[in-house]
Amino acid sequence: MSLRHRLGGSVPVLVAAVRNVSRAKLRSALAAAAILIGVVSIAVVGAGGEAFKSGQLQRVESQGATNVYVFPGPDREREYFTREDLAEIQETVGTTGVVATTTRDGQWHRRSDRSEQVSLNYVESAAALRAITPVARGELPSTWRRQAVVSARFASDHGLATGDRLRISTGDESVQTYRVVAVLSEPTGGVGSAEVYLPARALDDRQYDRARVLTGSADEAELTAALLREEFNERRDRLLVFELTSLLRLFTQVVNGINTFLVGIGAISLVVAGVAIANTMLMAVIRRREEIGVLRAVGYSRGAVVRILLAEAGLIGAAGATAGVVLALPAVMVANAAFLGDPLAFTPGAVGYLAAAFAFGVGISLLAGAYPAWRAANERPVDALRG
Amino acid sequence: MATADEPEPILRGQDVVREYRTGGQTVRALDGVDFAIRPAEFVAVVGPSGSGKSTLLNLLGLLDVPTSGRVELGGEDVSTFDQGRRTRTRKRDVGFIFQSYYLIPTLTALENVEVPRLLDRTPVETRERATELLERVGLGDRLDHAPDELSGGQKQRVATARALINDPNLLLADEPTGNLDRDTGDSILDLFDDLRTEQDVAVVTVTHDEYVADAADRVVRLIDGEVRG
Repeated sequence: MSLRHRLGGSVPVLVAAVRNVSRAKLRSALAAAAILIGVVSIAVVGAGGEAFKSGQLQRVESQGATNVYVFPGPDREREYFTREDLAEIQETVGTTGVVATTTRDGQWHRRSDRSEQVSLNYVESAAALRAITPVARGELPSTWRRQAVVSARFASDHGLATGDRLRISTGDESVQTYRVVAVLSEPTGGVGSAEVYLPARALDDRQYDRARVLTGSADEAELTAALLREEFNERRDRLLVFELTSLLRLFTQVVNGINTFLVGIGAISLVVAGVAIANTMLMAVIRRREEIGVLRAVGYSRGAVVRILLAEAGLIGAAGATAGVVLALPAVMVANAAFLGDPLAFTPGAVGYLAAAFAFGVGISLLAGAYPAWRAANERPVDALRG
Repeated sequence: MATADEPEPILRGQDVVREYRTGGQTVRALDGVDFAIRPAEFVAVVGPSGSGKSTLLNLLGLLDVPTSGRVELGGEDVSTFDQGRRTRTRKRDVGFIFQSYYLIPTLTALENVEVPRLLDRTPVETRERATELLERVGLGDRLDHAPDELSGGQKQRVATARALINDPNLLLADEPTGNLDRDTGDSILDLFDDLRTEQDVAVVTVTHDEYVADAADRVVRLIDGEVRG
C-alpha cells in the first residue's frame, strides 16, 4: 500500500477531482490557459503599475516634496519678483525660509576665441544655496561675491576642480571672472537646477524669476501653498504656486485610475476565462452524465457530487492561476528593476495585486463550476441512467 | 404469501403504483404491484419491454419512490425518507449491477470497484476489500487493467465486485447475463448462489433470459405494469 494511496485517502474529493481533470487533459489545459491569461494580465498590469507608481513617487519626493515653488502669476504687471515681492511672500509664510533664484543663459568663455552656453542660477546667499542643494566638495564663502559653484556633472564633463577660474558673461554685459569654490553633489535635477551657480549680487537688476519656500514636510508644504494662494490669488492670480504634494496626489490619482482601468480589462478577460471553465465543466457533466448517475446510485450524496465537481473547477482555476502568477513574477521583477532599481522590491500594493489575481482566478473558476455542479447533482439518477 | 417460518422481508411493496408524465400524458408504469424480497432469495423479474421491469428495479433500489402505495424497508415507508437518507440507505443496503456496467473508462478494475467507498477515508481497508472481491470473481490477475482491456464477462464481474463492496443485503442486477456467453453467465449465477448461501444476500434480477429465470427461486412476470402468474 503506497504512501500516496494512504494520503489520498484523507482527501478523497481531491483525488476524485484530480482523476477527472486529468481525463480530459486538453480541455482542462485550455480552460486553465484562459485563467492563466487573465491572471497574468491582472498581475502584470496591477503589480507593474504599482512599481511604476512608487518609483515615480520616490523620484518626485527626492526632488523636494517639502518645497513650495512660487512663480510670478499671469495677472502680475511684472514677470519677475522684486525684493519687495519677496518680502511680502516671506511675511506670509512667517519664519519659513524663502530662497529666491534667477535662471539665465550665459556664455562661458573657455578661451579667448571660444565660448559656449551655460545655464546660470543666481542665488542670494551661500546659506540659501546650501538650503536648496547639497554641496559635495569645497567650501562656500560666507560673503559670496566672485565665487562660482558648479554642478557635479558640469565639473566632470569639463574637468573642472575647485580653484579653477570661469569667465562668464550674460547678455550684453562684460565678462566677469569667478573662481570655482565648490562642486554640488549629484543628482541635482529637478526644478531650477543649473550648471553654474552664482551670487545674486552679481545681477544688476536683482530681479528674481522664482522663489522656493522651504518647509519641513510635505504636509507643511501643502499648507504653505494653500496659504500663499489664499493671500495672493484671491481676486487675481498674482502667483503661480506649485507644491509637489498636491501634484503627487494628482499623479497618484491618475496612475491609480489608469491602473484600475487596465486591471478591469484584465478582470474582464478572467470573466471570459470563467465562461470557458463553465463551458468545460458543463461538457464534462454532460459527457459523464451516466457516470454521475452511477455515483448517485451507489451512495454518493448530492453534496459529494457538488464537492467533486467544484474541486475539479477549482483545480483547473488553481493550476491556471498558479502558472499565471509564476509567469507574471519575472515581468513584475523587470518592472521593479526598471522603476525601483531592484527586481525584488515588491511593494505591498504589488503583492496585493498578485494575491488578488490568484484569488480572483480561483474564485471565478469555482463560481463558473457552481452551475454545472448543481445541475449534475440534481439530476435524478434514474433519468441519468435511462440513457 | 408470507408464512410464519419465513424470515422478515428486507423490502416489501404494497399496491405500488408509479406514474410518469410524458408529453402531457400520464403513463402508468406500475399498476398496483405487491412484492416482498426476503434475505437469500433469488427473484427473477421477466416481462416484455415497457412492462415496468426497470421501474420496479428503481423502486427496489430506492432510486425512485412510488406515486402511490407503500414501499417499506425494515418496516419504514421509504417515501418518508429524505434524499440524504435514501442515499445513505442505498449505499448501506443495495448493490447495483447495471446492464451496460457503467465502469469508469480511465480507472483500473481495482479503482472501479473502490469507487462506491472512495469518499469513506478508509483507503487501506477499501483496497483490501476491493482486491479480495476481484479475486473472488476470478479477476485477481486483472486488478490494474483498464475496462477496455477486459472482455464483456470480465467487465460484468468488475461491475459485480463493485456492487458488493459495501456488503449489501440486496443485489439488483439488470440483465446480468445479457451480453455474455453461457459459461460466463453460469459463473455469474454461481457467484450469486455463493453470496446467497454465505451472506444471505437477496438477488433481484431483471432478465429476458429464460435460463436465468429457471435458476431463480421465484419468477415475477410483469405485463403492462401488473404481476401476472
